[in-house]
Amino acid sequence: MSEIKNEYIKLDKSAEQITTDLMRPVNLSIGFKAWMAFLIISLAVCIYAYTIQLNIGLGVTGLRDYVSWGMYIANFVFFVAASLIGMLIGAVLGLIGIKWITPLVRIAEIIAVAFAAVAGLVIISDMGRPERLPYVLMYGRIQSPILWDVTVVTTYLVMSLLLYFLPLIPDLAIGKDKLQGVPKIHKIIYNILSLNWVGSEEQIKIIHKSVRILLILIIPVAFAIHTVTSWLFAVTPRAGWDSTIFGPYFLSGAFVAGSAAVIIAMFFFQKNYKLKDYITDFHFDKMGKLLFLVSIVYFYFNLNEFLVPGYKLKQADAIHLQALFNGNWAKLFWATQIFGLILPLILLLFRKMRKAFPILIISIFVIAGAWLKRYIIVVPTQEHPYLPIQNVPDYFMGYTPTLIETAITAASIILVLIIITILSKFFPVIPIWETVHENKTDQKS
Amino acid sequence: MKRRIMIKYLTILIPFVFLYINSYSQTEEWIVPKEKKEVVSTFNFTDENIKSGESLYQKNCLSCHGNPTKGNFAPLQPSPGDPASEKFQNQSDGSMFYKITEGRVLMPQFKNILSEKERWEVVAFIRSFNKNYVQPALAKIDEFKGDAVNIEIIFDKENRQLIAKAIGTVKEKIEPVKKAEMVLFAKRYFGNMQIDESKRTNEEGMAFFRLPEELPGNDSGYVEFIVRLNESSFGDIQKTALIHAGLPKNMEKLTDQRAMWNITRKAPVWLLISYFGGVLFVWSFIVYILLQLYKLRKIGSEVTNNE
Ligand code: HEC
Repeated sequence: MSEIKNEYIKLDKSAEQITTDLMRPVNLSIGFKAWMAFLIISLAVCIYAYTIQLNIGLGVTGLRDYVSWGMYIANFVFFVAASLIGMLIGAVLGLIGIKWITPLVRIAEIIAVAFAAVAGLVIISDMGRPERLPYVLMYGRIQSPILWDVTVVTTYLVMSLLLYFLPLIPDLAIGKDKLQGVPKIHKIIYNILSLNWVGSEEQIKIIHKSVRILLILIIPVAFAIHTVTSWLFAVTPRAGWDSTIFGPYFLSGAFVAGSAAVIIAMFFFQKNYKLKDYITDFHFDKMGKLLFLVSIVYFYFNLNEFLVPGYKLKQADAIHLQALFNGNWAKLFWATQIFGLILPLILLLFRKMRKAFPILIISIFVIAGAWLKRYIIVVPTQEHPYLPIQNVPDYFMGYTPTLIETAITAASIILVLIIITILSKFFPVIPIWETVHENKTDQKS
Repeated sequence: MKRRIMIKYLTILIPFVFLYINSYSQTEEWIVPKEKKEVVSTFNFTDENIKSGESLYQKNCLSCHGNPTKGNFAPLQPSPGDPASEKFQNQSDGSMFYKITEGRVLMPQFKNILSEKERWEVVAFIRSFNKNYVQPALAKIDEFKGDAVNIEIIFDKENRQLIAKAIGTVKEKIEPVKKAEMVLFAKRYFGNMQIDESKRTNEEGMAFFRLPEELPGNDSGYVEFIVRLNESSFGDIQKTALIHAGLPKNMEKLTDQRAMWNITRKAPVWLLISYFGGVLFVWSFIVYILLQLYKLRKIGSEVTNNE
């Protein structure tokens, strides 16, 4: 049916066929409705948990005076991390001319939009008085990395949305005639959003130019968003956070989490949307190599992050590392490092492991590890402050997330899934216009 | 052969023996002068005294001596000991008072930290753990039988000295307080700093304190002085006065200049430029792209209209 050519899959299909294939998943199937119903009911339960927190305050969480950043902030860091993959695949790989990413770019962008959008909400869930959010802008200090973080996360979200939307415009124009068995409103939305696309040369030029500007610009913005997030920790002198490599350490970790997220999404789209001809084993193999590359870089930063303070063993660092390596955090720490990083690295070396199903399993471990790693970065440090913990009840000394807190965190993850589901179900998940276009130019040459 | 081994052991042992003797001699024998041993309080230990003694103890002594009767004193050498212990209690009030007043090595001197009355209150608190304790007869106040004492503080600018004059009222007659001990302090951020030595008042009730040349004052050069009359007969008397006797402190406020820790209006310039520059740069492109999209839409509508 198709052959690997020029490092991408050459499709042996007509434009008509490709359009039909890629538009087929856009409908409101029973499966979709059931899945959405499940998500919305789960979300409602979790939102009920949030109303409890809203009424009673952050006291319903496990957060206390010493550990005041817990699951919420760990989850926030994870979300910001996962969203960076949009930049890596779309911008970095796209700009250097890698072709095989075409069917994956939109998936990466959807993941970026979903995680970036909910990251902001996660921060609000960590506020005891969320109605005071505008105070960040009204009274915030420009010297605070928190203000920088709010700024860059918002900017990144807007740019990711644009990067998702711009290449979608031609597809919307193509799709509005092809839509079948969908409510009228769906067609109307397609019509409005396609912005009178007729595919004239001028319009194509505008899209190309705009996308290019965005692709270049989103690289520093994406670097900024995760570096600033790392600075929320690294600008303090606390053991475990006081590190000069936190920026690149976070960034490389982000690509690990994001690549795993894309692989998981690819698997589900390939299976559920019947896109076997478009997302192939070749793509899984390539993504597996990418995941290996970013993981080995991340491994290298891990080595630095633990070996250097572990060699010097300044007192506070010694206490911190002892807690991680063989204290009460050891089990979680080693499980995360081994199952979330080292084993995947070894397995990914084998071609067989980079096939769709094995790599899905590996990615699930990687992404679980990525989440837990954020938790290990955020919480243990606060359990050993520089000043002694005195005259407080015992349960102030450690941190255990409560059920309510866990439910609210689950809500944010459900929300991400809802956004991904809606974007990938209402609009084609693989760029039609580009796929057709690339195929055509290839046939000519 | 055997002798050599013996010598070897002895050379190793001897330093330890010395060390032991040394530390032994230090922990033992805190010799209190005989006349100080006999000193007694000028007031009866009431429940109220014990209570204020307790709070003074919590603040000043707890960290080393622990909670009396609990034996949770700090593991220091020499050992501070538990105030409820026999070793502690088997001494006269005067000895205890003397040790608190003067201190020794690790035991801090409280002469300038707690007033005489306060030191006695701590003693009262410590004694409250001793059921067999009976307070000895009070000290006789015979030097001065006045009702009220006032201290006047005068700054002699020319000779750079501070003159403190204690005057009491005896049977409605005003008389100087003679031969009383006076101590001068300057108030600092953390506690008081003693200035010059403690002095005895002369026949006119006056004591003279030499002030250092460069005594830092507040922004305009004022120093808050405290004169304390250390004579148990009069109870606790101290007087403070704000006098222009120091150097103006020209310390810049930490919030005067642009700094990372200041408010936004006083943020470092480089930060303002980087932040607003960066935001403006990126967002101008975003706005440009939005305008392009508007243009794209217009082009499309023209094309469809033409058809
Ligand atoms: C920095 C630690 C420290 C603090 C604070 C401290 N002490 Fe002591 N104290 C000691 C030590 C050490 C000794 C033993 C000194 C020695 O034997 O040379 C001692 C000895 C004493 C003794 C003599 C005990 C005896 O067996 O005769 C008395 C009385 C005493 N302290 C009272 C107090 C009181 C009252 C306070 C608070 C106002 C106080 N101490 C605060 C360390 C401290």
